[in-house]
Amino acid sequence: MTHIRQKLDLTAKQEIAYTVVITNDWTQPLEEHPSIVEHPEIFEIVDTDIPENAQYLKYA
Amino acid sequence: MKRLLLALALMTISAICYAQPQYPINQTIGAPTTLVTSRGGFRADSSLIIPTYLDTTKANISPYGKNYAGAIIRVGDSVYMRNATATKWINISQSGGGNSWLIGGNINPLPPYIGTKDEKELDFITFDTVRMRMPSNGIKRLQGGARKYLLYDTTTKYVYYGDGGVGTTPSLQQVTDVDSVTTNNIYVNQINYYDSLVAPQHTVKTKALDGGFYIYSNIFNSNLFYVDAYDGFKSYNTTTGSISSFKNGNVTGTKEYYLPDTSGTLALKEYTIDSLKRNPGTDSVFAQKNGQWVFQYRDSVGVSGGGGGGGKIYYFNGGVSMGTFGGVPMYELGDTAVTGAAANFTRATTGNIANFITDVNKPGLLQIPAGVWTIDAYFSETGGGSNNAEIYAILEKWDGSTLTVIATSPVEQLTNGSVIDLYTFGISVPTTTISTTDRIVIQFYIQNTNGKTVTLYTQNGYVGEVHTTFTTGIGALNGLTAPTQTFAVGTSGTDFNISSATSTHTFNLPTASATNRGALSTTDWSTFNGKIGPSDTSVFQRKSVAAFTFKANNTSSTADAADQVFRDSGTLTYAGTITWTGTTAPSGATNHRYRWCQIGKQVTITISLNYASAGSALTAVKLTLPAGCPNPTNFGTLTAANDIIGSAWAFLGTSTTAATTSRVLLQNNAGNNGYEFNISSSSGNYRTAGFTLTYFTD
Repeated sequence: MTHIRQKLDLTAKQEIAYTVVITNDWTQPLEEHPSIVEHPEIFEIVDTDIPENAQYLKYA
Repeated sequence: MKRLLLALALMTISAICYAQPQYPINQTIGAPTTLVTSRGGFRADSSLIIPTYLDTTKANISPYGKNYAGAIIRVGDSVYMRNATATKWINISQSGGGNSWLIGGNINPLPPYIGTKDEKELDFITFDTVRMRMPSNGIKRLQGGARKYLLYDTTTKYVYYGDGGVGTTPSLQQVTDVDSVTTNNIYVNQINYYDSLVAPQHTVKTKALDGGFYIYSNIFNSNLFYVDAYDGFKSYNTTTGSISSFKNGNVTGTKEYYLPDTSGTLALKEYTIDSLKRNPGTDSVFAQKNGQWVFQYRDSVGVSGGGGGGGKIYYFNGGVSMGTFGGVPMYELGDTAVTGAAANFTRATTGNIANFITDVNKPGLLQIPAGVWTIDAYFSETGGGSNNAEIYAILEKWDGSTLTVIATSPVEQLTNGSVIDLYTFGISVPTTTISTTDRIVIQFYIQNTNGKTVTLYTQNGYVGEVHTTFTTGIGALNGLTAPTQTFAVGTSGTDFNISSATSTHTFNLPTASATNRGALSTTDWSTFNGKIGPSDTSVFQRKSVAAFTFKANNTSSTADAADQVFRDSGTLTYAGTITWTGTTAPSGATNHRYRWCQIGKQVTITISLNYASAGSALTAVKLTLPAGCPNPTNFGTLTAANDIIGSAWAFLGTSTTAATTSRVLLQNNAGNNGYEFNISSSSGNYRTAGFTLTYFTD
């Protein structure tokens, strides 16, 4: 599913944190979410399955 | 003149009287009632025709036939003459080709019988006395007033014997039976009758070179016994067809013989010996095995000879020198027989002929049981007078330095002369104490030689032996040598022990106590049984308890320990849901761990989060209760979302060494469908978090 995630360091050779920005209350397009707007270098919108061990970020 | 006339007259009369009359042919002289007499004899040149009658009775009609001795008549083909007293007609016929028996014997006589054709008995007479009468149904032998009968019934083919007085009906006994298969076999009945005048011994035998005969018994248990003239007594098994025979006392073929037991019932006996005999002059029974006569037993009425023994056997090995003992040369009294070259001993005067001693430390026992020792040895005597030489034996023991006499046998006479024969005699032996190192000695002596030379034969087919009273089994048990020993039980001593005395072995098992090692008494057993009962043993568990449990009494009074929870999860990887609040969450490699432990109802949990890269502007983090952790109790009241159940100190750190102290709250989650830990702090770039919190579960 489409979601905003914190960009991943894919070079790491061990388990890394997969952070998903909580957008349950965001009704606008994800591209307009403050995390994307304010930190596009950190967050990205992806359309993949969210892993089971993902953590979440209440963007503030 | 008168004389001349008289003479002429006489001459005339004479001429008239003595002139041969001339009769025409077929003239009849005389009358039926007159008698014509011929003086000086009567000759018929051709033939003399005598009167013919139908029978002698008819001839009696004529007085001249009936009343005159010498009268001759013809009846049929027989000629009769009146006997000297004119009382009967005697048949005087001697027809060589006719129907009469010749006095001097007959060749192919006709008719082939002698007897009567009418209903008359035929008498056989000697010394003018009827000795035997052939009645209508058999032979009757007359003996004074008593009559003995031997009758053969042609219809039944039975032979009868009987007797009876004069004029009495004989009492007949059947003595034979008939063979229904062939009429030529006669079976002798079970009852045999003998005439007292006949010799008491009866025999049935065949002629020389005869093919023999068979006398069959009834079939019993499939065995039929019969006598074969050539082979002797035999038995035939009608089921298997096997035949066994006795020949000169030896049994060949099958070995099954049914002999009566003490109750007379025929039972199967099986013998594997060559032959059996009773030793002449004694009442012992011997069996010949492998050519050697071996003592078997003394019979039920025997009082001497044989008997006893039956135990250990020693053999007279005269070829094995044992050395000198007390100045006496001795030979082996061995455990096994030496059957090699002959070893004989001879002596011609009264005295010691041979001596035998057991091997070292033999018999190795402590006692000689009382009884009869039986000696079997071969002897012969030659030369000398008509008397029989005599032998006897002396039983002794050798203790290493001294020969001690134990018993002496009776004298045995060598009754079979120069024939090498087995002589058996016994020695009555009393109960004798010996040591395990004592050796047994038997010395042979001869006497009453009277010039005879006596020879004792050993080995080489004349193996001599002595049957002792030594048991072939256990000789001594725990030092006791009594032939009969018993076991008993006891409790003496301080530990299990066996006490042997006289003829009793006592097994002592003392009662266990503070000083005794032994068996548990019933009283003590009850005591121990009262200390630990079945219910205690089921609850008393020191080595086996349920999973994640320990025993404790969680009551305010004395009670049995009950299961309590004890569980330690060990270090696990935290995989619950983490929710950060801030600008960026910590990222990179993670090293999240947790561990919880439950003791009873109390649960303690430690969670540690560690990231490679710190987040930014983070103010809080929430962690869900790990899977498997017991749910915290809400006391029944903290049931709403976000209700706080418990708390503890926590930290959020920018590194593993730098942290900001905070607090963690255990609460119902926002959805009120689970539990979470909530750590909040001032904003920072954190990459670590952790806490240890204790709560209670229901």
